[in-house]
Amino acid sequence: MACLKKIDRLTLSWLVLMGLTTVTLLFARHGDAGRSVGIAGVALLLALAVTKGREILLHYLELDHAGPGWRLAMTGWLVLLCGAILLVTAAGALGWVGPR
Amino acid sequence: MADVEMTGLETAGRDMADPEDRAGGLAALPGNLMMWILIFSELAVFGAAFLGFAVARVLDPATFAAGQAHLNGTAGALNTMVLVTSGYLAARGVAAGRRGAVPQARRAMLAAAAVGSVFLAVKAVEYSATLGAGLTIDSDTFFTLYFLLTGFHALHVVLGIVILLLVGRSGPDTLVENLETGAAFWHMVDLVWVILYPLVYLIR
Repeated sequence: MACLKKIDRLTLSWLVLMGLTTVTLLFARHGDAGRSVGIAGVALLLALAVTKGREILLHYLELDHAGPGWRLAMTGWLVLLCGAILLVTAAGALGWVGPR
Repeated sequence: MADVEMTGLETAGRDMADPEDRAGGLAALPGNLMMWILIFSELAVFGAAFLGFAVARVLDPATFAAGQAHLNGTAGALNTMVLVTSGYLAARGVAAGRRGAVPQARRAMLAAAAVGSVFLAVKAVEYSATLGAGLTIDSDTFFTLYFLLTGFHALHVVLGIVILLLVGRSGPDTLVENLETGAAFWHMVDLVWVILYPLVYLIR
């Protein structure tokens, strides 16, 4: 932890973004063409996207200094969009909606 | 972070404002307000397009799975790393500009633009592989949406690189606000990609 205190918040954000992108590599290979990652896999991928997007919003776009209203509006957009994508994808996987 | 009592006078020098010194409301956002209006509209458009992509996939999962299997997920991850690294360099350039380290700020913007251009090189390799396999914008719904979404995003990368190069050449009076404005656009391009990448390349 001592070395983490020496690096500034922006650099920490960059390291977090690089680290989380490395995790997505686990899903990058298509061993069996088209095999589903499952609803849990989709949720994990979207959670990673929200976490990365939040780092970008708060520390790259400096919304951590812009007050709670902007933070809520912009992270709200991110969470709602990814939540909607998850809902649509899950509805398809569960057979609630699909090809006619 | 020093606890200094702030007065209205201290926030008057908008151009040199540290993030800590910004006023509330619209002035709380870094850079020029017009850029933020563009950012909000871009996020609305990309958001709608991403939702449309998710719905289209649910309606035709077989076509989307077959199409996605032709994409290179590793190249997409590499490009995510390229963009977040470039965004980091741009953010450091803004910080350098605020400190008054002008040459360092200009160099950081140049470096951010150079790293950003790697994204386009990787994208070109991906497009040539897909097109070389005979998969074009007319092939099926997946490839139509793939080329439209990634192409529209890649055009923003091109524009972002041009903006970074331009703001890095600003005169001393406007440098900090221009750096903030250019970097804000660039971070938006980055933000859009971190959703586009899992949505188009990974979720199946």
